[in-house]
Amino acid sequence: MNLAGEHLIRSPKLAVWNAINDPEVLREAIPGCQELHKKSETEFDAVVQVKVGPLKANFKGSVRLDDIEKPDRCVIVGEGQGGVAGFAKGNAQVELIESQGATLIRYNVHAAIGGKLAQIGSRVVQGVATRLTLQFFENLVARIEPADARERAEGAA
Amino acid sequence: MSQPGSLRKTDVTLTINGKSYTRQVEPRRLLVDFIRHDVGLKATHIGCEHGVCGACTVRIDGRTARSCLHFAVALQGAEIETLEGLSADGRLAGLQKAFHDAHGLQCGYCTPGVLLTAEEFLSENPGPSEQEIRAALSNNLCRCTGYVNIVKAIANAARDRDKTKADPAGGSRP
Amino acid sequence: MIAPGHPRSIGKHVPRREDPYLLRGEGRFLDDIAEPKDTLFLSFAMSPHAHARILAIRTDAARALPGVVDVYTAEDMARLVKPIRTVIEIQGYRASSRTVLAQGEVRFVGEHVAVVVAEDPYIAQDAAELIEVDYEPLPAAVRLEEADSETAPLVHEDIPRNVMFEAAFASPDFQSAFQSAETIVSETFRTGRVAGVPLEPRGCLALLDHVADSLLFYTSTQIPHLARTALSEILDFPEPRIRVVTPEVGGGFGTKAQFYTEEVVTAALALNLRRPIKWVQDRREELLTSIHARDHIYRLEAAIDAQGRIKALRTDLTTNAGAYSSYPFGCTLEATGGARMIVGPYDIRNYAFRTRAIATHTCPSGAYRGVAQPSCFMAIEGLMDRIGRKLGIDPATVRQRNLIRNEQLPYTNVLGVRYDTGSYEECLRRALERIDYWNFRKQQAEARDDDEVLRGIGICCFTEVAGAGSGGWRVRGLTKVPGFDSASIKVEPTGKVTLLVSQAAAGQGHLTTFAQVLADYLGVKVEDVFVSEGDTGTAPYGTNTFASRGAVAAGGAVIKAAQSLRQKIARIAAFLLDVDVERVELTESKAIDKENPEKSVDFRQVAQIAYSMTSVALPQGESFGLEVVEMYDPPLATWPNAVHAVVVAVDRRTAKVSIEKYVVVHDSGRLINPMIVDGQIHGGIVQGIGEALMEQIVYDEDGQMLNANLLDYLMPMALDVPRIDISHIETPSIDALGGFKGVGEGGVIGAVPAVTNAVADALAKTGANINRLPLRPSYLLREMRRQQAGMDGDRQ
Repeated sequence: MNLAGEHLIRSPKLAVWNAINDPEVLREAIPGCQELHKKSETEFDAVVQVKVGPLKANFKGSVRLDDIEKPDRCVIVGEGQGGVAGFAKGNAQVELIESQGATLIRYNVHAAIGGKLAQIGSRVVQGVATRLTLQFFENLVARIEPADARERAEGAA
Repeated sequence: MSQPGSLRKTDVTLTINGKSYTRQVEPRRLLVDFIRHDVGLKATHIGCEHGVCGACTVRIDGRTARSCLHFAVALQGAEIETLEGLSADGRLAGLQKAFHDAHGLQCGYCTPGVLLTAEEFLSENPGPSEQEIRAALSNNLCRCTGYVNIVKAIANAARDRDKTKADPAGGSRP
Repeated sequence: MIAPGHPRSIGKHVPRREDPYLLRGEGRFLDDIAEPKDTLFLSFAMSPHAHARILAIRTDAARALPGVVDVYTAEDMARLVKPIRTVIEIQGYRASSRTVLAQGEVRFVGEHVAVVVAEDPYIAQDAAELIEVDYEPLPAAVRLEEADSETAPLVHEDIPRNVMFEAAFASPDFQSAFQSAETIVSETFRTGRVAGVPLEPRGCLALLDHVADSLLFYTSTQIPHLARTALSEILDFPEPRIRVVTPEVGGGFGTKAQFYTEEVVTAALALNLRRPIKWVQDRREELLTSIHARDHIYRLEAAIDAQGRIKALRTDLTTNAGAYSSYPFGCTLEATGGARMIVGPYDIRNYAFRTRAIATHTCPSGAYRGVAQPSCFMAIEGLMDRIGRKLGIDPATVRQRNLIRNEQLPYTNVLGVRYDTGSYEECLRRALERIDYWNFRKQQAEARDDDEVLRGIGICCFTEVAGAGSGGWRVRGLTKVPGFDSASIKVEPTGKVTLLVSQAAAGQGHLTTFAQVLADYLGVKVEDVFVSEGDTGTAPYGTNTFASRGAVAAGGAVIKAAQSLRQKIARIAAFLLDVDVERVELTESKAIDKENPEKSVDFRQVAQIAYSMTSVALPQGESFGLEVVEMYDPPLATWPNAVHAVVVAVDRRTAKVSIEKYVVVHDSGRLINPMIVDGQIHGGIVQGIGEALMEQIVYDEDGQMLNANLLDYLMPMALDVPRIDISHIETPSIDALGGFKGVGEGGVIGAVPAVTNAVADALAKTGANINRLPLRPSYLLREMRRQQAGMDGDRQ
């Protein structure tokens, strides 16, 4: 499964970078995140509850940041075990581009799923992934964009 | 995942084929398991457990439904009818005869669901076309007959009902 | 001999005696059997990986769940049972060994790694979800094309290059014939991966008979006798103490003609825990673990003359065996079948093949209805059409020129196999007539290039290997498949007849058809016969129900047993009637004096004497009772043949395929019950339509099965099915008793190639080359667009 897209956040690049490296921020932004701990500078452990079609499962997993070029780009490598629901693994190439005080996050995700998740959920999983990704960025924006920037943006719209 | 072992059982009362049954079941108990295993009526079969094949078709409050897609607790007080009930009170006699005559069944596993679907369909569509019969059967998978003789049996049953209506005195075939 | 005056039952539309109870919902399928109160239930933990090393299995949480009795892993099971090893005595076969739970390594998604025993099926399933397994994922060989290479990950360490079976053959003059031909026509055909998907999933119930210390084993199978022998060997438990009973079986289609690991586990745990054990799978498990089938690549080359006659044919067949050799047919069944059957009804004198079965990290493949024949006839029949296109000869004419002619019968084909009788030319002639072939071709030629609907016509001429006897299985190395079947007849003291047959039906109507056969051959009224089968405790041993063998093998056994018993009945009757035995004729449950038909005794009177229940003593020299058991070994094979002809319309915009006309002319020899025969053909055709147009098991590149449910594994619904015009030609077998040839698989064998050829024919004028299944709109559109873009066809 492949998922690509970009999202504009009205905050400076370094602020965005720091946010996506902050366990506190991630815990709130990741939809269904139950636990998230920083293991090292570049590694996290997480428990995330995901619902795909008829399946609801807690995925226990780890996330690692590779090929870090702070604050421009990195590769996020993750895998999660959902027990009998199966597993998910994948990587996301993430790039941060700053322009006029805002940051464009561009991402390219390649993910694979296995077990029950694949057997009965493969038809809906792309939609779920897209929805969760959008939700993640909405949460992220809510967390890190300065309130005034949001108001301005909403006023303009 | 649901938390295993911590599911509180509750009393559920369903009327099945006119008889009331109360059983203590977990909230996740499927209607089909209630019918088959808690009550012991085995004509309703399980083919997929996800609402596609139609082998578990029953009537809930007068309408056909997939008993594998309903929880027993959610149906407290409902009137359920299964093949046993419809067969015993003779409502299916015409269809059963038509299926026998036209070789409308082979292994017989899908047959209870097919009969319930057909009964409801014919009661609402007395003179169906072949295409309408086929469309009605889109609720039921059969892997043996290729549907050919099921369609034929339902068409024959419809024709015989028509005759019975036109000639209430006779109508049954020799 | 059947008495001349006896009203014939064979050949009649006798309504099925199975129907009344099934129509009332009173058929007892496996899960309908009321299990004892102390029954325990199983649930298996399945591998989510196609290939992985098992590092650790933690069962504590599962064991701790209230209601869980025990959890077993491979190590625990190894103490109870042996691995399953499929013996096939054929050169080039490398056996894989399979433990009933994966040991050390998993080799396909869905393979069992542990089993929970619990007091309730819901709890068993909960506990299975609590089993934690640490896996180290390993590279998987998933697609056939990838597994078949030097660099592919190995499925079994001891099977080099994943080649589980390899064989080759060339007839003496093949090389010279091939080289001297004027033209070569070649094509590669790729078939889809499908499954039988019986509506009732598999399941079993093991009970201990404490008095006799024996095992009563109910299982939803087509092979109770073979399963009993296998159980005895794998459990190391005396065969006489095992009784296997098949309840009603909700569809088999070959899927249930294999013996499965879950059956071993269920039986072993019942013996180990000394409690009744029940296991019933759900649909996801069924699609993940019941055998898959087909997934073949045929590379064909035909050397032809200017008239389109095949002078020499070469087949290179590769089949996907899956992760293990299934039991009892193994990975060689499809590989030998496709390579051997492909010459079909054609007079091909020079032939060579190479055939292989390749191991992959997918569910084991096995014997699904038609075995390799739907695919090998898709290939050869597709080639016939291509020969026609290449030479500008109509494909029907190409077939007419290549068919074995009537006067050549009996005919021994290039592999040394005898076709005793058949009607190849007549079936084709009549099929072309019934589908109005030449008019269709005329209209097709007049069709405009910009028509929104493309119409095509497809033909499949085929023979079917059916009713194979011991020789037929030996020649393919399947020495654990006996080949004979048997019948036991008892005329009971009341004169009614019990017929026990070594078969196990899954909807074929055996209780009716074998009663018909016995009625005629014993001279008894059909309603006086009671047929029973599927219980190894009562029925005599036999090969069971698969490969279109019921009518031929067991029908033959019934005839043989009837012929033997009628002599004794006639002798006792002659004594009672005080006439010579030659004057006695058996008809309608009576023995009559041919020369004085008013004089007769009924079976009851004869039986009373045989059982010593009357004042008249048994004639001197006779033994008590009226019963007999006979085994019948059919010939190498019987050869039903048929022609399917199909007209399809393909929407040029959406590539949706509609079947507008479907004609079958079928010859399965002598018909026992034409109504049931037609039912078999209908069902087979619709499975074939499914295989051709929509069915496909999808594995992704990692070996994850993406459609283990019936929403995503598409099967034909009533709206997908056309009207089917069936007509019969009856050319009785002269090699098989009774003249029956078998009918279980013909429908699917003819449908897959005929539908494929019709779609390919419809699209031919777009330039698209259709050579792979299934023919889903996405594939057809891609091929049409590829042509529009002026690119080359996909010859992969």
